[in-house]
Amino acid sequence: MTLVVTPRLEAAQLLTGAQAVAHAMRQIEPDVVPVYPITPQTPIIEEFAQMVADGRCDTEIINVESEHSAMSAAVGASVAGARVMTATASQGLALMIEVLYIAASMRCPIVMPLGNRALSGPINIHCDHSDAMLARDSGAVQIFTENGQEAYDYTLMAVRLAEDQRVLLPVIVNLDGFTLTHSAEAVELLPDEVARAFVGHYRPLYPLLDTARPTTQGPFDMPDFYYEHKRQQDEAMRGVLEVFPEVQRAYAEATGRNYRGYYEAYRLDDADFAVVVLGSTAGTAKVVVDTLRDEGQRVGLLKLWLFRPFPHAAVAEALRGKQAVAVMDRALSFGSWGPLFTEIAAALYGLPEAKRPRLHNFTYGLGGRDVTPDQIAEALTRIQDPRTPAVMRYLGVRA
Amino acid sequence: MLEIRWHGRGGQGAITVSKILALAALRSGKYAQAFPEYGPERSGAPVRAYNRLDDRPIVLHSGVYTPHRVAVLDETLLEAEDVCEGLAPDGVLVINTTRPPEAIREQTGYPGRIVCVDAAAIAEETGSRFANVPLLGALASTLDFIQLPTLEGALQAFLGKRRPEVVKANLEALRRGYHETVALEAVAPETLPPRPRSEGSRALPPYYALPIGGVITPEIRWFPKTGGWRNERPVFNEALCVNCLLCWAHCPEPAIVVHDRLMEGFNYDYCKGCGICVAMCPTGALTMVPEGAAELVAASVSPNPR
Repeated sequence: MTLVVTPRLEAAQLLTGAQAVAHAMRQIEPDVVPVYPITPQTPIIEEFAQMVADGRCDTEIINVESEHSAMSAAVGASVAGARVMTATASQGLALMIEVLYIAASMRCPIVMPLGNRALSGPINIHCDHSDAMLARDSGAVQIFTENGQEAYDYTLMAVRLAEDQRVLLPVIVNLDGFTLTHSAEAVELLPDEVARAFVGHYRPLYPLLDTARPTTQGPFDMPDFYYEHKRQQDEAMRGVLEVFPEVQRAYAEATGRNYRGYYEAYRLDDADFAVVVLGSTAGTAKVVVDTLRDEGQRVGLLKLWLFRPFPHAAVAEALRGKQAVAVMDRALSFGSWGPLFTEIAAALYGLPEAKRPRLHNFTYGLGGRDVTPDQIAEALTRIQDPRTPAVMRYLGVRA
Repeated sequence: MLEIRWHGRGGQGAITVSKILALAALRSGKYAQAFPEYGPERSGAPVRAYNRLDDRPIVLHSGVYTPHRVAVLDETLLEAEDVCEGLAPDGVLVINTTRPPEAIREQTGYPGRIVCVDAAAIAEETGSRFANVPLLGALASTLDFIQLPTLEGALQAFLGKRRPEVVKANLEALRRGYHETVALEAVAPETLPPRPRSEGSRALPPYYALPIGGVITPEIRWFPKTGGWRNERPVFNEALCVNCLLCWAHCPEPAIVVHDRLMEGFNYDYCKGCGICVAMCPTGALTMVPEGAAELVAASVSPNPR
């Protein structure tokens, strides 16, 4: 049974996802935040910059001329030994990608909220997960959040996760553009001292500014060393599967907020049919699951928090024995299945055939196309017919 | 299948001669490969190139580990690397040296056939400038399936439309390299004195022993310092120095030692032998000397009194 956090009404504030994340950043009080504004990330940094300007937290904000420079400055500051955050979206992440790979390979624990948005072109500022999927293989840990509360809580947890000496990798906290960044909902913040005590003090492993122990960072690797460094990086990423639940437990102990596991399983245990989603669509899907359950359909939801590393074994266990599963992708991998679908398929491949659900892939919500309960109900209904062929389907696009 | 490994330094033409040899082999009715060991392509750094020659089409694209021939363009590499690594006792070691093959056998402990050629002198005398072409001639003389005229044709194809005197000099260098070798026949390995394992065969650390993120910490000693790049070093004649410090200003590494605005000499741990300091020096206080001779020259310079 997965526990999720619901803000208590008496303690909640009305905050946009962007504001919630900005408060998390204020409480984390990173040493350096290099930023370049891009929709829909802009209000995160606007709010945070205002807090810094008001003296509510002591952070060096660096205004740079592009996201490539933002991530470059972040790497430089991180290597120097600073606790570093930044934030971006869409084209900004695309421009960062070159340096994001470097940040990951140099093992910089940079925490970055990502206001998920479609990639150009055509130019589109609205939500989908194309940007996150672009960074899929960068070596950054990726967490997806369902609402402002989760975006806030996981931003705090991301710091502990990134800075764990077994991990030391960038962590992206995904929150759906506009749907979360610009929508105000009830969010319960932690008292500053609780949040600060949880994230604690950062002790860098090899601070470049330690002149008593000089190091060379970011050197050249020949074929006799590069592969070894990549293996280290991959093992660090896989190690997140161990550290992530530890961070959740530590967060629960410090705050009483129970996030447990790599995913939230909503009415999934006794379900015959399941839908798998990332991000804010999970909330809509819960409504659909409740409605269909009222009609007597045995349906459930798997909402992944952790996308990289991908918890294949746990997902296989969660979906084991279901009759059919609808995997909802809010991004295309042109000419292939959806990125989330391929992971789910890989996870289920090891199951014995009798326990392996039929898999269906639905693309939805690209470029901010609204995601309605009807669409999710359609997916959950279609997969119940065993004659439905397993081809990728587009939900909510004009035929 | 016959496999060949060339040892040289960046800029000495090892890769070029491997290609010329491959072309000559093709024209001699053999399938051929020529490939370099790609690196940061820096002048003076040890580089390797390889050939694979066979009667049948060659589909193998992995590295060469047990060559039948090793050709060494630069004698200083005998100290920097284990040039005999993987070289079978029935193979041939071909080397550009002024020394007799007995001296090479003593230094390397290689029991197989050793072929010496003073390729540097041939290059100098013919005006071909580089030792690679005469060394190519020497190596080809150990391969019975490549005839000298075929090799000359391949060399001409590579020289293309160079000036006639350049072509002539290179062809002359090739012929002299082919003919002016001094060989020492193979002996039974057990007749040679046992040798300590060479520095070149060090084991690399496992992945988990590396500092993460490619960080190089003060403890790391897996490789020699940048001095491994050098085949010539600058030496300092204090009597001619006016302390203009142009050398210090232009050195790409912190290899010029200056105290109180006075030039004191070199930090050879980090000098890559690029020669920029020598080029910048207005008074001739700095000169480049071959690595082997450096100590003699250095000894002739009066010790720095400061």
